[in-house]
Amino acid sequence: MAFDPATDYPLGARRPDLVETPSGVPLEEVTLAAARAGTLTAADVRATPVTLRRQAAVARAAGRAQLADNLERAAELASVPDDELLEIYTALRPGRSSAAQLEERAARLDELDAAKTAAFVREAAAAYRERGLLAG
Amino acid sequence: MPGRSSDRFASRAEKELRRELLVSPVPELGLVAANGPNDPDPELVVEGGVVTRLDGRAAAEFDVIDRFLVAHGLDLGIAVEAMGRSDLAIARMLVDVDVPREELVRLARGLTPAKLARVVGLLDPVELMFALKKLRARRAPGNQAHVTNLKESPALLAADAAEASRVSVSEMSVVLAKLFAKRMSPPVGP
Repeated sequence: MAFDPATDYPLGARRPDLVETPSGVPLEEVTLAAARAGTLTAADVRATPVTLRRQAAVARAAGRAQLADNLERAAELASVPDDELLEIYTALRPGRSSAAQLEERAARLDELDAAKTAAFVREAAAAYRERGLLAG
Repeated sequence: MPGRSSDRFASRAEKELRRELLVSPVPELGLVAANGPNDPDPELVVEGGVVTRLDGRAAAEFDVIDRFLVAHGLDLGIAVEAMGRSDLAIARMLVDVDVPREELVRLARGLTPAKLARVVGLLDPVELMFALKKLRARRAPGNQAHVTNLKESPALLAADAAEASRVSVSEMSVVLAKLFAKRMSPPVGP
């Protein structure tokens, strides 16, 4: 059955058949017993880009454009390594980065197929430049 | 009778609660919930699909929040209609059972912060509560909570979180003090 963003939320309750972990474990196999047996690792209990994009579609169908944009960026970031994510977060604090450093971050996000987030970082860089929030 | 007070007043004056300060509004300093004398007049000028003025500021003076709002918050497709409504008309819609939530949400996307503040400033506390209830997206809101402990023990945090969900907190964030303390003191400590 095709996914319907107007009626299939929450996915875990209405469409568990569509939800799987990053390593491909179906939702019904994400159990305490599997965790005890060691067949389920912490990395399995994470949202996949596919699931986050479906949630974005749900948000958009409900007329919540900003939330949808947010979830689409989340989908891009789901496969960005945690260390890099924290580095970007820190780099975006006021006064931490030069324009060139923020552009480097944006270019790296482009490499990671995170075009929307890259555009977001570039938008921040432009705003920081105008408001004197860049480093130095 | 000067110089005399009843024991009732005397004992009440000793209470800890009496040491709390009540802050009265000082509108001219901006210390006021709504309708401050320095609040900007609502304004939205769109030229060629681009916002050039917002609530008394030209685009060149936009701060980071103004910029974000203009780029990601305001729905310019609805702004002309929404900003054209009077403050009073929108305020009345907020407390009108015959106006659906969808219509208010639609209009709100086209209102500037100053306009929203003017509208909300027209409502008294009971009307605000009614409007809040009416605008809720969910039929049955879930309880929300933060779970944290200063010991930073993952097992303890997990146990606290499990306990919270057992007492019907349906949405929860687990906050670590080390991250949290950078900006404010931890909300809960053992």
